[in-house]
Amino acid sequence: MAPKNKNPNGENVVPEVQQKKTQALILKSSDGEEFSISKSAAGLSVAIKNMMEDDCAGGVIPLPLVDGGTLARVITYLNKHAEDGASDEDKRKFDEEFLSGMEVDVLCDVALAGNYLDIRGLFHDVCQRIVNGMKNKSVEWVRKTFRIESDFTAEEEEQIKKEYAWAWEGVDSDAD
Amino acid sequence: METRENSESSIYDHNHPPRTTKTRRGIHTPEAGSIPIFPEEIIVEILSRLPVRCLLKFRCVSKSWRSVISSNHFIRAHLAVSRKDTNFARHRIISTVLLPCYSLKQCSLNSLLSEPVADAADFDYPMKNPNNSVRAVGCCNGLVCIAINGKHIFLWNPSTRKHKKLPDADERMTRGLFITKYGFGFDECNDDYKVLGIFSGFCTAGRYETRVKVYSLRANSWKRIDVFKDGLPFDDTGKFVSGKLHWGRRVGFNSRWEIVSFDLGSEVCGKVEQPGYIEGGFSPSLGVLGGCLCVLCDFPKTSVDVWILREYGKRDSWDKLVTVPYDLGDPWKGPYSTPLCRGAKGEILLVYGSSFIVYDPKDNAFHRPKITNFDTFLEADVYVESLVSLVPDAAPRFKTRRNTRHQ
Repeated sequence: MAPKNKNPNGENVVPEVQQKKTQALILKSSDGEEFSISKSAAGLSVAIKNMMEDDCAGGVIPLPLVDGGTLARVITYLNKHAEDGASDEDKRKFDEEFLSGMEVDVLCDVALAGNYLDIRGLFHDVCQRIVNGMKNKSVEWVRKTFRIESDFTAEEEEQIKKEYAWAWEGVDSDAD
Repeated sequence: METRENSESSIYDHNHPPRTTKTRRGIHTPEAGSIPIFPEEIIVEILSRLPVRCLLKFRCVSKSWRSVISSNHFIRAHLAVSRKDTNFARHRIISTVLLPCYSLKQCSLNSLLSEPVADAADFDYPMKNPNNSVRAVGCCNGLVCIAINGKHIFLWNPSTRKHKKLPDADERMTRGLFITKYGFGFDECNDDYKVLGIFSGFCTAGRYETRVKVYSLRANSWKRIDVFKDGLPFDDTGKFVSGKLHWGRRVGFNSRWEIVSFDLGSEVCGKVEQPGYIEGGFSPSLGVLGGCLCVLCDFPKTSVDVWILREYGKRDSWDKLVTVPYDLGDPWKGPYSTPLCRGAKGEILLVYGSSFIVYDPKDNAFHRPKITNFDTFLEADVYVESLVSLVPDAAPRFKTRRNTRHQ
């Protein structure tokens, strides 16, 4: 498969940084998609950097734990943060827009990838995004969103609620 | 009482096998479009950023979530995140208010610093009653030590609303007028919270006597100790920094001012070397900013120098942080007292008489935060929201490294 680069909408794009920097490497997602990325952008991931230093220099780096859609998003982020001349303010604005369009399930995928690829800035921002959406939510919303089945009996749950009954005051309804 | 479970328990949903990250074996999305099962470290990362109230609610999500939220490991991680927040979203000011009656009130530190008007809220603290005097005598790791009518002492976590009444410190206190000084902090060596009480008054033989006692939460008892023979602290409450409590005192023929410390681990007194400054008008006063010990040196009606000990135990690390002038437009020019916090832009929040004042050294500007539902107060302190429990876990976590920070 020929290396390609996609934005989150699935359109093929050739990032500017890639044109400037001839040194590129290829990242391969769990579903076999290949993405070309400059070494400077890839190096912002501590995990990829370590892999480059180990034995993968110049070759294809397989990322069997990240699917193509998520990897495309991560690469968009890395490219922006490796861009020459992008000020901190530019990056901050980009991060804000980049994350604000994501649904909670996408945020969760990106959080997992950010953690796995060890991109601390991305990981922390995504976690904060997830947290902001959780603050006033009900227990049911959390279970639904994180696909968790309650393993408490009704009596046990009632008992736990009773201990801090005041914490339930002013919670949003189940709908988000 | 609080529910505790093994801190090693797993967060994983019972229906799914546990996965780990940072190894190439770990994560992937189980099916397209669904939410992956999060490894524990990500769950902890997310939960550690939530307010205490949310966490108390989310204990209901599943057994594994309850177990994580109740674990000491998580409680420490959550406290560390809250403490580091430069927006002070989890920091609160606690004040002893005198009008219309004695009570404790709280207010968000973030809104006090950055919003035009902050709103104070009432607390439901133990033995709350308009006829009882109340003082918050120390804050540490989200716990507040309060004294009611100068003799009933409680440890209280305002965020979880749990409290514990300490046993009576001294039977003689019920019989007469006593002067009491306190200190409250965390003994990291023994993983224990301790209260130091200095009780002075007339004993049964009519002689004026002082007894110093230290309370251990782990032992749940007071024990008499033989310290401060060379001079009692001057300040009413000790400042907790680096595992030690600190007070100012005057000693010797020339009434030299010095900083005396009490190590909560070894229960031994010591002294802290002072910065090379010139003393102002009255005794300097102590404070804590960002976990560091501070000395306020007042030059009456002119300014106050705030000195900070950047690295505990190193005299060279005393640094003059800021000189806060007195507002020329203010006729009172009374002394600034407790420094409460230093904002991200270098602005400093101080207690000024019975109000708060924020001084911004960059613009040499003053700001007096407006607080609704708030009036004349006696003293103020800062605490950070935490899940810290008043029930010590069975196995103490022994540690020798000292990095506990105040607030």
